[in-house]
Amino acid sequence: MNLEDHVAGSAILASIATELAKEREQRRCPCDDYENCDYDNNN
Amino acid sequence: MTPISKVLVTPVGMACNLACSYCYNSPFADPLGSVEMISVALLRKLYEGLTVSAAQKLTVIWHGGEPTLAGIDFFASTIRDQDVIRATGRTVHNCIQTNGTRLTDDWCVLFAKNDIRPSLSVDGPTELHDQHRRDRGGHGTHGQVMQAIARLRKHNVDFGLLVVVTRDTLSRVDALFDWIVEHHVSHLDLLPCFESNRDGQPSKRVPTNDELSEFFIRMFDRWWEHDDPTIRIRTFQDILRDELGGTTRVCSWRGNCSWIVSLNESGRVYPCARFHGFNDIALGELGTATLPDILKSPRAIELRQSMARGQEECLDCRWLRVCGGGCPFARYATGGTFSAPYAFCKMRQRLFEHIHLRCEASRDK
Repeated sequence: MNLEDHVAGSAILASIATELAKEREQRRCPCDDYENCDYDNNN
Repeated sequence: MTPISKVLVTPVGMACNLACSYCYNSPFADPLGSVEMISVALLRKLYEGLTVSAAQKLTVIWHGGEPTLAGIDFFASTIRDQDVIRATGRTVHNCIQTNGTRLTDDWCVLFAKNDIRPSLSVDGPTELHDQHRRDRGGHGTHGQVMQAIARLRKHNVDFGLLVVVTRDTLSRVDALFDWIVEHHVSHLDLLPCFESNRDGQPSKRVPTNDELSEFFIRMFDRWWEHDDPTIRIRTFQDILRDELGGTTRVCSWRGNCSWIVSLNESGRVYPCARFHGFNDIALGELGTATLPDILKSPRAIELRQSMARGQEECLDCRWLRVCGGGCPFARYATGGTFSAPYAFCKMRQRLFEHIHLRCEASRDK
Protein backbone atom coordinates (compact mmCIF):
# COMPACT_ATOMS: atom_id res chain seq x y z
CA MET A 1 0.00 0.00 0.00
CA ASN A 2 1.44 3.38 -0.93
CA LEU A 3 1.65 6.47 1.26
CA GLU A 4 -1.38 8.11 -0.32
CA ASP A 5 -3.53 5.15 0.66
CA HIS A 6 -2.02 5.18 4.11
CA VAL A 7 -2.99 8.76 4.84
CA ALA A 8 -6.37 8.73 3.09
CA GLY A 9 -9.13 9.87 5.38
CA SER A 10 -6.87 11.45 7.96
CA ALA A 11 -6.01 15.13 7.66
CA ILE A 12 -3.46 14.68 10.44
CA LEU A 13 -1.62 11.88 8.64
CA ALA A 14 -1.77 13.73 5.34
CA SER A 15 -0.23 16.79 6.98
CA ILE A 16 2.60 14.75 8.50
CA ALA A 17 3.24 13.00 5.18
CA THR A 18 3.55 16.41 3.53
CA GLU A 19 5.95 17.53 6.25
CA LEU A 20 8.12 14.44 5.76
CA ALA A 21 8.14 14.88 1.99
CA LYS A 22 9.33 18.47 2.38
CA GLU A 23 12.10 17.39 4.73
CA ARG A 24 13.28 14.77 2.26
CA GLU A 25 13.10 17.22 -0.61
CA GLN A 26 15.15 19.77 1.29
CA ARG A 27 17.38 17.04 2.77
CA ARG A 28 16.66 18.72 6.07
CA CYS A 29 17.38 17.13 9.41
CA PRO A 30 14.30 17.16 11.63
CA CYS A 31 16.55 18.22 14.50
CA ASP A 32 16.76 21.57 12.73
CA ASP A 33 13.24 22.35 13.88
CA TYR A 34 14.04 24.49 16.80
CA GLU A 35 10.93 23.68 18.76
CA ASN A 36 11.87 20.09 19.18
CA CYS A 37 13.90 19.77 22.26
CA ASP A 38 11.63 19.00 25.14
CA TYR A 39 14.07 18.89 28.07
CA ASP A 40 11.02 17.83 30.06
CA ASN A 41 9.58 20.85 31.63
CA ASN A 42 8.10 20.51 35.05
CA ASN A 43 8.90 24.06 35.91
CA MET B 1 31.51 13.75 17.82
CA THR B 2 28.07 15.00 16.82
CA PRO B 3 28.09 18.78 16.43
CA ILE B 4 26.10 20.55 19.10
CA SER B 5 22.81 21.84 17.70
CA LYS B 6 21.03 22.76 20.91
CA VAL B 7 22.36 24.73 23.83
CA LEU B 8 20.42 25.12 27.03
CA VAL B 9 21.28 28.04 29.27
CA THR B 10 19.85 28.83 32.70
CA PRO B 11 20.73 32.54 33.00
CA VAL B 12 19.41 32.86 36.56
CA GLY B 13 19.85 29.26 37.62
CA MET B 14 16.84 27.78 39.39
CA ALA B 15 15.54 31.15 40.62
CA CYS B 16 11.84 31.54 39.94
CA ASN B 17 8.99 33.85 40.90
CA LEU B 18 6.61 30.90 41.25
CA ALA B 19 6.45 27.98 43.65
CA CYS B 20 4.82 25.21 41.61
CA SER B 21 4.08 22.17 43.72
CA TYR B 22 5.70 19.69 41.33
CA CYS B 23 8.79 21.65 40.31
CA TYR B 24 11.71 19.29 39.84
CA ASN B 25 14.03 22.19 40.53
CA SER B 26 12.64 22.85 43.99
CA PRO B 27 15.22 20.74 45.84
CA PHE B 28 17.90 22.99 44.35
CA ALA B 29 16.02 26.26 44.00
CA ASP B 30 17.43 29.46 45.35
CA PRO B 31 15.06 31.84 47.05
CA LEU B 32 14.28 34.97 45.11
CA GLY B 33 16.50 37.79 46.27
CA SER B 34 19.66 35.74 45.83
CA VAL B 35 19.45 35.50 42.04
CA GLU B 36 22.83 34.70 40.53
CA MET B 37 23.04 35.95 36.96
CA ILE B 38 25.24 34.31 34.39
CA SER B 39 28.09 36.59 33.35
CA VAL B 40 28.43 38.19 29.95
CA ALA B 41 31.99 36.84 29.78
CA LEU B 42 30.83 33.24 30.22
CA LEU B 43 28.20 33.60 27.53
CA ARG B 44 30.69 35.14 25.11
CA LYS B 45 33.03 32.22 25.78
CA LEU B 46 30.16 29.83 25.09
CA TYR B 47 29.36 31.55 21.78
CA GLU B 48 33.02 31.52 20.82
CA GLY B 49 33.13 27.76 21.44
CA LEU B 50 30.06 27.26 19.30
CA THR B 51 31.76 28.87 16.32
CA VAL B 52 33.68 25.60 15.97
CA SER B 53 31.48 23.07 17.80
CA ALA B 54 28.02 23.88 16.56
CA ALA B 55 25.96 22.44 13.73
CA GLN B 56 25.04 24.80 10.91
CA LYS B 57 21.69 25.44 12.57
CA LEU B 58 21.89 26.12 16.25
CA THR B 59 19.18 26.67 18.82
CA VAL B 60 19.79 28.36 22.15
CA ILE B 61 17.10 27.51 24.68
CA TRP B 62 16.82 29.80 27.67
CA HIS B 63 15.56 27.89 30.62
CA GLY B 64 15.31 28.06 34.37
CA GLY B 65 13.97 28.60 36.95
CA GLU B 66 12.32 31.53 35.25
CA PRO B 67 14.70 32.97 32.64
CA THR B 68 12.79 36.24 32.19
CA LEU B 69 14.12 37.24 35.61
CA ALA B 70 17.33 38.05 33.72
CA GLY B 71 15.51 41.02 32.15
CA ILE B 72 14.79 42.30 28.66
CA ASP B 73 18.07 44.19 28.34
CA PHE B 74 20.04 41.04 29.12
CA PHE B 75 18.39 39.14 26.28
CA ALA B 76 18.66 42.00 23.78
CA SER B 77 22.37 42.26 24.50
CA THR B 78 23.28 38.57 24.51
CA ILE B 79 21.42 37.93 21.26
CA ARG B 80 23.60 40.61 19.67
CA ASP B 81 26.63 38.79 21.08
CA GLN B 82 25.56 35.67 19.19
CA ASP B 83 26.55 37.45 15.99
CA VAL B 84 29.99 35.92 16.46
CA ILE B 85 28.36 32.56 15.66
CA ARG B 86 26.31 33.97 12.78
CA ALA B 87 29.50 35.40 11.30
CA THR B 88 30.62 31.80 10.62
CA GLY B 89 27.58 31.23 8.41
CA ARG B 90 25.60 29.39 11.07
CA THR B 91 22.05 30.30 11.92
CA VAL B 92 21.05 30.82 15.53
CA HIS B 93 17.51 30.59 16.83
CA ASN B 94 16.50 31.41 20.37
CA CYS B 95 13.73 29.83 22.40
CA ILE B 96 12.69 30.64 25.92
CA GLN B 97 10.83 28.38 28.31
CA THR B 98 8.80 30.59 30.62
CA ASN B 99 5.97 30.41 33.11
CA GLY B 100 4.45 33.34 31.22
CA THR B 101 3.59 35.44 34.25
CA ARG B 102 6.05 38.22 33.42
CA LEU B 103 5.39 38.63 29.70
CA THR B 104 4.55 42.26 29.09
CA ASP B 105 4.13 43.91 25.70
CA ASP B 106 7.81 44.84 25.85
CA TRP B 107 8.77 41.18 26.10
CA CYS B 108 6.52 40.37 23.15
CA VAL B 109 8.19 43.11 21.10
CA LEU B 110 11.60 41.65 21.97
CA PHE B 111 10.43 38.19 20.89
CA ALA B 112 8.94 39.45 17.64
CA LYS B 113 11.94 41.58 16.76
CA ASN B 114 14.50 38.83 17.41
CA ASP B 115 12.47 35.82 16.28
CA ILE B 116 12.57 34.34 19.78
CA ARG B 117 10.11 31.52 20.21
CA PRO B 118 8.60 31.30 23.68
CA SER B 119 7.15 28.15 25.15
CA LEU B 120 4.78 28.65 28.04
CA SER B 121 4.02 26.26 30.84
CA VAL B 122 0.25 25.93 31.05
CA ASP B 123 -1.56 22.98 32.52
CA GLY B 124 -4.87 23.53 30.71
CA PRO B 125 -8.07 24.85 32.26
CA THR B 126 -7.95 27.19 35.25
CA GLU B 127 -8.68 24.63 37.95
CA LEU B 128 -6.02 22.20 36.70
CA HIS B 129 -3.39 24.89 36.25
CA ASP B 130 -4.01 26.71 39.51
CA GLN B 131 -3.93 23.52 41.51
CA HIS B 132 -0.15 23.32 41.10
CA ARG B 133 1.13 26.43 39.35
CA ARG B 134 0.98 29.09 42.05
CA ASP B 135 2.99 32.12 42.99
CA ARG B 136 4.91 32.42 46.21
CA GLY B 137 1.83 33.80 47.93
CA GLY B 138 -0.10 30.66 47.01
CA HIS B 139 -2.22 32.34 44.33
CA GLY B 140 -3.05 30.66 41.03
CA THR B 141 -1.36 32.06 37.93
CA HIS B 142 -3.70 30.94 35.16
CA GLY B 143 -5.14 34.40 34.56
CA GLN B 144 -1.70 35.94 34.10
CA VAL B 145 -0.63 33.23 31.68
CA MET B 146 -3.76 33.57 29.57
CA GLN B 147 -3.12 37.32 29.38
CA ALA B 148 0.40 36.55 28.19
CA ILE B 149 -0.99 34.28 25.47
CA ALA B 150 -3.29 37.08 24.32
CA ARG B 151 -0.34 39.49 24.18
CA LEU B 152 1.79 37.06 22.20
CA ARG B 153 -1.00 36.66 19.68
CA LYS B 154 -1.45 40.43 19.47
CA HIS B 155 2.22 40.74 18.54
CA ASN B 156 2.08 37.76 16.14
CA VAL B 157 4.62 35.80 18.14
CA ASP B 158 4.52 32.06 17.46
CA PHE B 159 4.60 30.08 20.68
CA GLY B 160 4.13 26.61 22.10
CA LEU B 161 2.71 25.24 25.32
CA LEU B 162 3.95 22.53 27.61
CA VAL B 163 1.37 20.80 29.80
CA VAL B 164 2.51 18.81 32.82
CA VAL B 165 0.36 15.75 33.41
CA THR B 166 -0.11 14.96 37.08
CA ARG B 167 -2.50 12.56 38.79
CA ASP B 168 -4.96 15.45 38.90
CA THR B 169 -4.98 15.67 35.10
CA LEU B 170 -5.92 12.04 34.58
CA SER B 171 -9.63 12.34 35.19
CA ARG B 172 -9.81 15.64 33.29
CA VAL B 173 -8.54 14.45 29.95
CA ASP B 174 -11.66 15.53 28.08
CA ALA B 175 -11.70 18.92 29.80
CA LEU B 176 -8.05 19.38 28.82
CA PHE B 177 -8.63 18.47 25.19
CA ASP B 178 -11.70 20.71 24.98
CA TRP B 179 -9.60 23.55 26.40
CA ILE B 180 -6.92 22.96 23.74
CA VAL B 181 -9.55 23.15 21.00
CA GLU B 182 -11.36 26.12 22.52
CA HIS B 183 -8.15 28.15 22.70
CA HIS B 184 -6.86 26.72 19.45
CA VAL B 185 -3.46 25.81 20.80
CA SER B 186 -1.41 25.09 17.70
CA HIS B 187 1.75 23.60 19.26
CA LEU B 188 1.88 21.75 22.53
CA ASP B 189 3.18 18.73 24.28
CA LEU B 190 2.09 16.69 27.26
CA LEU B 191 4.80 15.89 29.76
CA PRO B 192 4.30 13.33 32.50
CA CYS B 193 5.05 14.84 35.89
CA PHE B 194 8.46 13.64 36.89
CA GLU B 195 9.73 14.73 40.24
CA SER B 196 13.34 13.86 40.65
CA ASN B 197 13.57 13.92 44.38
CA ARG B 198 16.98 13.07 45.69
CA ASP B 199 15.65 9.92 47.33
CA GLY B 200 14.60 8.68 43.89
CA GLN B 201 11.06 8.00 45.03
CA PRO B 202 8.19 9.35 42.91
CA SER B 203 5.84 11.68 44.73
CA LYS B 204 2.12 11.06 44.97
CA ARG B 205 1.62 13.54 42.11
CA VAL B 206 3.44 11.27 39.66
CA PRO B 207 1.01 9.04 37.75
CA THR B 208 1.71 5.35 37.30
CA ASN B 209 2.42 3.82 33.89
CA ASP B 210 -1.09 2.37 33.75
CA GLU B 211 -2.67 5.71 34.60
CA LEU B 212 -0.56 7.53 32.06
CA SER B 213 -1.32 4.94 29.39
CA GLU B 214 -5.05 5.46 29.80
CA PHE B 215 -4.59 9.23 29.75
CA PHE B 216 -2.41 9.34 26.64
CA ILE B 217 -4.54 6.85 24.74
CA ARG B 218 -7.72 8.79 25.50
CA MET B 219 -6.03 12.07 24.55
CA PHE B 220 -4.71 10.57 21.32
CA ASP B 221 -8.14 9.25 20.41
CA ARG B 222 -9.74 12.66 20.98
CA TRP B 223 -7.05 14.34 18.88
CA TRP B 224 -7.17 11.71 16.13
CA GLU B 225 -10.93 11.87 15.83
CA HIS B 226 -10.94 15.68 15.93
CA ASP B 227 -8.49 15.42 13.02
CA ASP B 228 -7.33 19.03 12.90
CA PRO B 229 -3.71 19.12 11.65
CA THR B 230 -3.32 22.70 12.88
CA ILE B 231 -3.37 21.39 16.45
CA ARG B 232 0.00 19.72 16.79
CA ILE B 233 0.62 17.57 19.85
CA ARG B 234 4.30 16.81 19.63
CA THR B 235 4.35 13.34 21.20
CA PHE B 236 1.63 12.10 18.87
CA GLN B 237 3.13 13.84 15.85
CA ASP B 238 6.43 12.09 16.46
CA ILE B 239 4.90 8.64 16.79
CA LEU B 240 2.95 9.19 13.57
CA ARG B 241 6.11 10.40 11.83
CA ASP B 242 7.62 7.04 12.65
CA GLU B 243 4.51 5.24 11.39
CA LEU B 244 4.99 7.03 8.06
CA GLY B 245 8.66 6.13 7.83
CA GLY B 246 10.09 9.37 9.20
CA THR B 247 12.28 10.00 12.19
CA THR B 248 11.31 11.28 15.60
CA ARG B 249 12.45 14.71 16.67
CA VAL B 250 12.06 15.17 20.40
CA CYS B 251 15.28 14.79 22.37
CA SER B 252 13.88 12.37 24.95
CA TRP B 253 13.12 9.95 22.09
CA ARG B 254 16.73 9.73 21.01
CA GLY B 255 18.23 7.91 23.97
CA ASN B 256 21.26 10.15 24.23
CA CYS B 257 22.08 13.82 24.55
CA SER B 258 25.02 13.93 22.17
CA TRP B 259 23.92 17.02 20.25
CA ILE B 260 22.89 19.00 23.32
CA VAL B 261 24.90 20.84 25.89
CA SER B 262 23.77 22.90 28.85
CA LEU B 263 25.34 25.74 30.79
CA ASN B 264 24.30 26.88 34.23
CA GLU B 265 24.64 30.36 35.70
CA SER B 266 28.04 29.70 37.26
CA GLY B 267 29.61 28.24 34.12
CA ARG B 268 29.19 24.53 34.80
CA VAL B 269 28.55 22.48 31.68
CA TYR B 270 26.14 19.52 31.68
CA PRO B 271 24.74 17.17 29.01
CA CYS B 272 21.28 18.70 29.59
CA ALA B 273 19.64 21.24 31.91
CA ARG B 274 17.79 18.43 33.59
CA PHE B 275 21.11 17.41 35.17
CA HIS B 276 21.75 20.80 36.76
CA GLY B 277 22.39 20.16 40.41
CA PHE B 278 23.71 16.65 39.69
CA ASN B 279 27.37 17.55 40.02
CA ASP B 280 28.50 13.99 39.37
CA ILE B 281 27.18 14.42 35.82
CA ALA B 282 28.87 17.77 35.10
CA LEU B 283 31.14 17.77 32.04
CA GLY B 284 33.38 20.64 33.09
CA GLU B 285 33.70 24.32 33.90
CA LEU B 286 33.55 26.90 31.14
CA GLY B 287 35.41 29.31 33.38
CA THR B 288 38.58 27.23 33.15
CA ALA B 289 38.27 25.38 29.82
CA THR B 290 36.94 26.00 26.34
CA LEU B 291 33.72 24.40 25.14
CA PRO B 292 35.44 22.26 22.47
CA ASP B 293 37.90 20.95 25.08
CA ILE B 294 35.07 20.13 27.48
CA LEU B 295 33.08 18.32 24.79
CA LYS B 296 35.99 16.12 23.76
CA SER B 297 37.23 15.46 27.29
CA PRO B 298 37.43 11.84 28.53
CA ARG B 299 34.69 12.68 31.00
CA ALA B 300 32.28 13.78 28.26
CA ILE B 301 33.09 10.77 26.10
CA GLU B 302 32.59 8.40 29.02
CA LEU B 303 29.22 9.92 29.87
CA ARG B 304 27.96 9.69 26.33
CA GLN B 305 29.08 6.10 26.11
CA SER B 306 27.28 5.34 29.37
CA MET B 307 24.10 6.84 27.95
CA ALA B 308 24.46 4.75 24.81
CA ARG B 309 24.96 1.60 26.89
CA GLY B 310 21.65 2.38 28.61
CA GLN B 311 19.89 1.65 25.35
CA GLU B 312 21.30 -1.87 25.27
CA GLU B 313 18.63 -2.94 27.74
CA CYS B 314 16.06 -2.18 25.06
CA LEU B 315 17.64 -3.89 22.06
CA ASP B 316 14.91 -6.53 21.90
CA CYS B 317 12.07 -4.02 22.08
CA ARG B 318 10.18 -3.51 18.83
CA TRP B 319 9.68 0.15 19.71
CA LEU B 320 13.33 1.07 20.27
CA ARG B 321 13.45 2.78 16.88
CA VAL B 322 10.82 5.31 17.86
CA CYS B 323 11.44 5.49 21.61
CA GLY B 324 15.22 5.54 21.79
CA GLY B 325 15.05 3.81 25.15
CA GLY B 326 13.82 6.82 27.06
CA CYS B 327 15.32 10.02 28.40
CA PRO B 328 18.77 9.36 29.91
CA PHE B 329 18.03 11.83 32.69
CA ALA B 330 14.90 9.95 33.71
CA ARG B 331 16.87 6.71 33.78
CA TYR B 332 19.61 8.23 35.88
CA ALA B 333 17.36 10.13 38.27
CA THR B 334 15.33 7.09 39.19
CA GLY B 335 18.01 4.42 39.14
CA GLY B 336 21.31 6.19 39.65
CA THR B 337 22.61 4.76 36.39
CA PHE B 338 21.91 5.24 32.69
CA SER B 339 21.15 1.52 32.45
CA ALA B 340 18.23 1.81 34.88
CA PRO B 341 14.77 1.09 33.45
CA TYR B 342 13.02 4.06 31.89
CA ALA B 343 10.26 5.17 34.25
CA PHE B 344 7.58 5.49 31.56
CA CYS B 345 8.58 2.47 29.46
CA LYS B 346 5.32 0.55 29.86
CA MET B 347 3.26 3.64 29.14
CA ARG B 348 5.17 4.29 25.95
CA GLN B 349 4.83 0.70 24.78
CA ARG B 350 1.06 0.75 25.23
CA LEU B 351 0.75 4.09 23.49
CA PHE B 352 2.90 2.99 20.53
CA GLU B 353 0.86 -0.18 20.15
CA HIS B 354 -2.42 1.72 20.31
CA ILE B 355 -1.38 4.31 17.74
CA HIS B 356 0.02 1.64 15.46
CA LEU B 357 -3.26 -0.27 15.57
CA ARG B 358 -5.27 2.87 14.88
CA CYS B 359 -3.11 3.61 11.86
CA GLU B 360 -3.52 0.03 10.64
CA ALA B 361 -7.27 0.31 11.05
CA SER B 362 -7.28 3.58 9.15
CA ARG B 363 -5.28 2.00 6.34
CA ASP B 364 -7.61 -0.98 6.09
CA LYS B 365 -10.75 1.14 5.71
